[in-house]
Amino acid sequence: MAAGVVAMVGIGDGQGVKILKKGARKFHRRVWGFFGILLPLIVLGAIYIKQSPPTDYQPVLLEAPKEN
Amino acid sequence: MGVDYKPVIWNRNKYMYDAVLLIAVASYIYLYIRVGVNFQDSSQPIERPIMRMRAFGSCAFLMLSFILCIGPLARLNEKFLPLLYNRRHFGVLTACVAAVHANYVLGWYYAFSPTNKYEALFSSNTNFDQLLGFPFEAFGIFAFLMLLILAVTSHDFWLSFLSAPIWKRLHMGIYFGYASVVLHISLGPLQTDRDPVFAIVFFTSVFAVSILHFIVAMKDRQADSMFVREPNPGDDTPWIEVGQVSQIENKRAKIVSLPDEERVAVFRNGNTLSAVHNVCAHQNGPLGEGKIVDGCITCPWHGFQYNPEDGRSPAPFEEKIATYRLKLEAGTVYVDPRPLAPGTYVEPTLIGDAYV
Repeated sequence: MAAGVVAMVGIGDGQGVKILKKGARKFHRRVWGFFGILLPLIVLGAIYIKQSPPTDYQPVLLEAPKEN
Repeated sequence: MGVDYKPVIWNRNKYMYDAVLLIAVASYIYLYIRVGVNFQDSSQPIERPIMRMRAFGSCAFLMLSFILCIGPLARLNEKFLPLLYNRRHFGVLTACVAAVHANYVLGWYYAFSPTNKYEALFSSNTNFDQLLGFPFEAFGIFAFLMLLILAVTSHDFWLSFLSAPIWKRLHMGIYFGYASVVLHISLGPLQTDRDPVFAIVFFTSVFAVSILHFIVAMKDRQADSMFVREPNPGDDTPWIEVGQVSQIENKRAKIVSLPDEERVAVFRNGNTLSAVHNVCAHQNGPLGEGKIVDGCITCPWHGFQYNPEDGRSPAPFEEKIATYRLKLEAGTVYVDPRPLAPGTYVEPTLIGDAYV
């Protein structure tokens, strides 16, 4: 059964009933077993690739074009 | 089309919860805009609309992170349960704050575009093939739409209309919404903002959400493997051992996992025992982590109640959950793992004086 599906389960010998199965719990477990590691890594990766502005460039003064 | 549902009634706790929430959000926005401006780089002053955009955006992110921490915190320590009680209003307010952020973004970056601002939002950056400069707005749009859908469907009407399983599955989509927010910030503001405080707060929030959910997920996995009790051989009824009756605290339950990984909550109410399915019919709350209040099993999440003997909610409510048969032998409690139809009365198992 696919993860996250809340299944309806039946049991035989006259006691067959439909109850909510553990789908939500299992789905949470699978998602956060993955996201729990992935999300902090994404942030660390984003910090790693972050580019700093150059510090050795002299500021350049921009002037408005002169009118002819 | 009519849908029969009974809304949860407003009470003092809900008013207090919402009041604290509104004051906290208003204070954060005010402090960010009014006080935060004093800490910015004076050589590169930030425009007012950008300041507001950041205030609402960061507020929505922190709110969503906090909301996602409430669930696992409440599982790890019941002192956090009051935070869970009105979490839906927290979520709706988060969607509203995110909407204000989105409105400022559209009004500042796209309002003067030669094309329609909504069209410009989707067409101004199409560098999907590069990491730096990636159109991070796409992740923000997805997350905002997710928040919006969840906010709109958060009312009990939708819970009743969609049914609890579908509603719950839909609302678990917030995990993907949060992942999308993390990508939105990582590839957007985190790349341009030079303030290290921002990066530290962002990482700490994501780490807190991730580690809390990860711990709960692992504990849950461990619980399932630990609590499974194999049936006693040589018995027609596949009785499963729950444990010693003395291990069950009065008005509380012991949760036991069955071979099919379903969970049963065995409650002790004075000198009687009763067993019900561990999942609340309202929002799948863990009933076994609740307690018996006024003779009723009370869900720790939103206070939905059930009679221990038949799993039915007291009138006028009509929810019902499956019940299970129990037996007590020499101080050891056993449960029949075959669930009875929701609402089926089961005579409570008497605990002898020797075990009280």
